[in-house]
Amino acid sequence: SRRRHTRCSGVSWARRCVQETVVTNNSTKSRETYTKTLAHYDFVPNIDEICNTSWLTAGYIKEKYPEVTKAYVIGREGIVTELQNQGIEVLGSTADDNKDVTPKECEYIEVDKDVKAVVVGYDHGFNYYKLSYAYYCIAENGAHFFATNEDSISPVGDQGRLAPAGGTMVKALQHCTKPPIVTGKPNPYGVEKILKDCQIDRSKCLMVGDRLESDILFGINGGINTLLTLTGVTSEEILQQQIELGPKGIIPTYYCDKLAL
Amino acid sequence: FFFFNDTATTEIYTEQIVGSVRCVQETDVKALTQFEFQPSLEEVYSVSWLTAQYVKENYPEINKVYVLGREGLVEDFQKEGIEVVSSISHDNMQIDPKSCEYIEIDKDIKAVVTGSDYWFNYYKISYAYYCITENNAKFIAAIEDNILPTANKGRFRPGGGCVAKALQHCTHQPFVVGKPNPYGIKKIIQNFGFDNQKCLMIGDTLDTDILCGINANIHTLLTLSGVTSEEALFNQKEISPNYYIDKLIL
Repeated sequence: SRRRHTRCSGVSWARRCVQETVVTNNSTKSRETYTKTLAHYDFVPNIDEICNTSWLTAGYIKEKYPEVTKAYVIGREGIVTELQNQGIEVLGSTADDNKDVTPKECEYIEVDKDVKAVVVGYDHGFNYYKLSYAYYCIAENGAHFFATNEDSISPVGDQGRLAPAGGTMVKALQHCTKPPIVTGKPNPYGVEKILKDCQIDRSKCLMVGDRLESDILFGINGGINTLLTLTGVTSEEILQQQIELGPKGIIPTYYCDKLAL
Repeated sequence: FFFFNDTATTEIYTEQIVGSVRCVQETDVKALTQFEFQPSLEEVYSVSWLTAQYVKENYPEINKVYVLGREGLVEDFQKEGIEVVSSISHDNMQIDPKSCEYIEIDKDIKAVVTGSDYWFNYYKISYAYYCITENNAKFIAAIEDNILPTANKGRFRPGGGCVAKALQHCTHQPFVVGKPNPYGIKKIIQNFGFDNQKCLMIGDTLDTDILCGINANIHTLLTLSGVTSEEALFNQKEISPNYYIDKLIL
């Protein structure tokens, strides 16, 4: 169907009779933590309305790779909690933050042979020990390599300054191993899961987001309409560049300056 | 002439190379002396030295850099009169995402140079990111090695290039000085007036050593005693050495 580039001035109708699900590539928190984080906004989702990438990743592994019983995590508590909720034992994460092992000693690390998956997301405690451990699991033990997302940058703090995001950890490991299976946006697995769980028709869905290569592509891959807000990572200039690429561009159905709920 | 792609030098070799400090990894020189070969200073090219030369020649206006690497790279830049903010000083910096807001970079840094820093952390990657994106600093990578051999029974380990790739993902493609960039070979050929047809590049890694020689338009010899196996050589068609041999006996 033809894509319409309709500029919306605000989407105040969104709250009427519409089910909303928050889809986030931030893997540092569990779903439960998100209900608390979002509680001070007017929009208060309950736990079933949160589709964050740690929860998606754990569900994806459980569903499609049931043989995985133990995973090594480069990431924070969110991924750990969600994997454990699926009955998967977890090594690494914050426990390996301050490992007192020199790079030379890393050459002699003996990894747990039962680790069948390495799961990587944003990790501000990323270090050479974790990179090495994950490398050995994949290269020597044939473990699967999952990435919660490949986001390059993300706003942090109150001023929204940009900082390197989870994709940077993923690319470091990818460079010495192989491309990962990306479970978060833009993998449309999340779309399928939501449609199935909520019993909704695809044509009645709208994906709203500020990032072309994760949010909008997620919606496009999932066969649903998309709305880009220019309040975040993507500027109108970047959007225009994509439109000029024609069929090769990532182009949303709609875009707007900001979303006023 | 010997090219070394590893810049993770913690031991500075001062004894055998007379009269000067040349930041070559001790293990590199030990490997050479096994062959009863005593290289002179001009015959050993470490990529840290090459990278400093590259910046000096191509960006003479740059007088301060952030080195995401170790002593070897730091000192080779300092010897060219370029001031260095070294990532070694950030070894113990812990950071959480919110605190990234408060990282203040030195605004005089005009280039970020990545080498091998196995003590990398999120603070260093963020610092380098801000230099590049907020200060418009150039991004130059000494190496892009993905894996390297270890001393542990034929095992490999992640190479120094992994951090460069992490930084690349949130900024842009760097200029890579080390192999397979033929910069070093071309520098030698130019300095000494050699004939390309009379030069041979010998190495054990297809996508750094051999590709470097091909890019420099000289002959290439692959030894199967290291990173690239015979199987790996014939499982691909992109890179073809002129010759290959099981191992080199000098």
